[in-house]
Amino acid sequence: MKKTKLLIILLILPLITSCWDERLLKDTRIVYLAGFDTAENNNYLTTTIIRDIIISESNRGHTSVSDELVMGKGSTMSETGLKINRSVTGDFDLAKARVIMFGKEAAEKDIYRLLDGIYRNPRVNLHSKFALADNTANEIITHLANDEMQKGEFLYEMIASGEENTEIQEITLRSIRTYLFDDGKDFTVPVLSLDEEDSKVKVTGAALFHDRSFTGETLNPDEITMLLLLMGRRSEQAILTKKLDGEDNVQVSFNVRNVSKKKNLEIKEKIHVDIELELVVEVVDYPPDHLEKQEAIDHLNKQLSEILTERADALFKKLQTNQSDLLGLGRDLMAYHPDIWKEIKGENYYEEIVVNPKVKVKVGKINVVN
Amino acid sequence: MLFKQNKSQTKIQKKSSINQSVLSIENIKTQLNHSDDIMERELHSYKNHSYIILYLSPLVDQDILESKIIKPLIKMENNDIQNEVHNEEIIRTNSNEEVIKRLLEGYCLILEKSGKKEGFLLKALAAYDREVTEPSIEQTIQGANVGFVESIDKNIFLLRQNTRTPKLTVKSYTFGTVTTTDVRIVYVEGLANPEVIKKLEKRLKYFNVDSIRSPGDITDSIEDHTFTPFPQLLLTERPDRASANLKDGKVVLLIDGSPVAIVLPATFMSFFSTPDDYITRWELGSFFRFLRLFSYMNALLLPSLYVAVVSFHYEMIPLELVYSLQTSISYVPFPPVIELLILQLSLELLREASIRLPPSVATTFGIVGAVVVGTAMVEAGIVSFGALIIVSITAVSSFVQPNIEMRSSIRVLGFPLMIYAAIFGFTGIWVGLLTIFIHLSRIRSFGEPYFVPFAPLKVRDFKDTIVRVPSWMRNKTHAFKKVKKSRKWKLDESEEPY
Repeated sequence: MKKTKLLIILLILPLITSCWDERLLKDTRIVYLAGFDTAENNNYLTTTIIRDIIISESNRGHTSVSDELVMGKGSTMSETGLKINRSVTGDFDLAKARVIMFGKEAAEKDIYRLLDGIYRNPRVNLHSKFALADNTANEIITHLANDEMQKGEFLYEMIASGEENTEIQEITLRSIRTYLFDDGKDFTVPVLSLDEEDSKVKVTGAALFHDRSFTGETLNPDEITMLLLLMGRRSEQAILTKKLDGEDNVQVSFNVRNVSKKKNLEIKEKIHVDIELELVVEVVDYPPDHLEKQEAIDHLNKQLSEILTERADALFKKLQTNQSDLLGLGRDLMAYHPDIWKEIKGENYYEEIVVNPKVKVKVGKINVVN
Repeated sequence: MLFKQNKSQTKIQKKSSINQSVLSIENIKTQLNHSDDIMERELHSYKNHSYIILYLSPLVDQDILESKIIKPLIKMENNDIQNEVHNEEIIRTNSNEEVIKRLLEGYCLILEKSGKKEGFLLKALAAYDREVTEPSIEQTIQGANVGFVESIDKNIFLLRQNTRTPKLTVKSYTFGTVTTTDVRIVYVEGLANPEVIKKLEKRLKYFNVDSIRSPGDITDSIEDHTFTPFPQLLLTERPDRASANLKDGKVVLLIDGSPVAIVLPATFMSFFSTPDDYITRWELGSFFRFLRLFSYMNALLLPSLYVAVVSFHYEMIPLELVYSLQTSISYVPFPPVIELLILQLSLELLREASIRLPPSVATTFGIVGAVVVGTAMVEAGIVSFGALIIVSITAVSSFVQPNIEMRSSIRVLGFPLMIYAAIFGFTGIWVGLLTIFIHLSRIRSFGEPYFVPFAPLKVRDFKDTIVRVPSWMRNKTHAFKKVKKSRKWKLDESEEPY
């Protein structure tokens, strides 16, 4: 008798424990692409594409898919979500978002204000990629909604392949958060722009961020590859093409096989950082050829080292003017020279740092590529 | 008239009850209710002695009766039945009860007409049992093609043939107060755990029924735990498997009329092995063991995982799949649990129906069922294709389990897990699984832990449970002390690998 009573209690107990937070797949509207912009009167505008499934009446087994462009305006991000909810059936859910995009204007302010609501939602896909629209996110998403081929997955694949080619810094919703709250390190976000000529969305470079906002300056793909190499990151391949001095129309393309970096901090009246970068490259494309001769290789080594050092110098100048500490030099100071860090820390600590890059190129492989 | 007859019958009964123990034809017939298949025959021998032979005609082999009983009886010279009639068994008795019991076992009674209150019982049982054939359920690829039959004597013959040792012990029991059935315990003395035998005998002592209808009657009352989906007795229809178990120190229970042997004590993992594992090479045997364990978990968990994912954690589905799944699921009017329950139930229906149908109809039926359940239900939007795939994989996985009773445990546990998953998602599945594991660790089979290499943990026993290592690497058991040395030989020079 006692046992049966216990059993009944155990059976009923699961049924009376507060709320049932079931979320049925069939009731949700999955969003794989979302763009955030600022609108007038301090409002925000969220633009997304929602996929609709249409089942034909005559033949129930046959379904077709159409994409619906939806927008919501509100004073906070969650309010825009609610607005979207009112206009579609089911629940607006960012759980499967693959790309999150910001308008230029929105990014120039503190982007954490836009992300707060997203970070609070435990179901958001933390591996979704980041992108910055060179005008408004709304413009690009509207374009994508009308285009058959280019959808959210397209953007994701595009950014992923850029990362593979060392043209885009690997940034996800998860990794960006550490940068947002790190005083000593900044990040870049790929810039998407709509090419008017062939009406396609393209990656045109990377936006430099300082602290939590866009500096307004963008790097071109070449510069980012350089930058990523200086950061010691190299993905599947990193191909650079340079014009050699003194020779007419001679271009050389090379793939970086190996990166080694030495960093040295020296405290004088300013903080001098010497970065010595040693690249082992394979020549991909070099029409004059004759790389079997040591002289030709020596010549290439020298030329490329000079050119790249020059480029690196220019790059650091650009970073310094924008206060964007992508190499995390501030973090080095925090770790090794905390007393100096205490003096200079703040918004513009990068002004106190002088970077002297030196690139040494070694042609290592000259034969069959890939 | 009717009344009169009744009265006379009661009179006879009263009379007989007075000297019921006295052996007489009249008494015996009364006790057998004057059944029409009682045959009575009077014989006069060569030396002019008169005998009465009494038997139950359906149970007696006419040939044996003719040649081994009647013929020698007529030719008898000295009125010495015990020496002159050649029969495998002659019992001399004057007990009425014994006579009745033996008549039902196929003996015939010979009474001297001269009035001696003593009879002879001679065995003349007709053997109508079938030939030994291939087992129908536990089929193997390369194993012996021998299965148990309905006759208990033949089954013991099969066991003895496979287990040739003087230590093989058979103990006989007869159960049933109204109708009787023979039950025998077989074990190898010295290998079988005496505690287990003691426990089995104790439990059988309490076993008290009017009649045994099926082996289930016995297993129900000797099993340690009845309220559990897990079988604690291994039923097998293969003599080689039963014999291998005997050699491992298990006890085998045979029931007359049933072509299965009950092996005890059984462990959870013993249901995952088949005789084929030991015939094929060890890598393959181990792989199939793994496959069976995996498919068991698969069949148990897949429906509940589907329910949990679709109704709680859809962010776990890859993007490419989530759309096609959503496409098919969004027009299903039921929540995922109900959807799966509908499919599972219709599959159970198909399964049950196809077992009972004659093979010629079953094929047609299978096709119709597959079309209706498979295509039409999805197209009509009653279930989604995701659920259909899940249920199909579950069904296929469950068929991998070689033991029927273990297979049914999947069904019994699968439904509650699904409901747990529908209420709590993954948390619910965890709670359900934990409950199952706790339960499994608590069960014992005849005093021996059921979930054995896992709880209590015996890593050395993994060698012959989740994998099957080569036989010479197996643990030394008391049965196989010499196994380890069987590969001590060295390669000759001519045999060395290049």
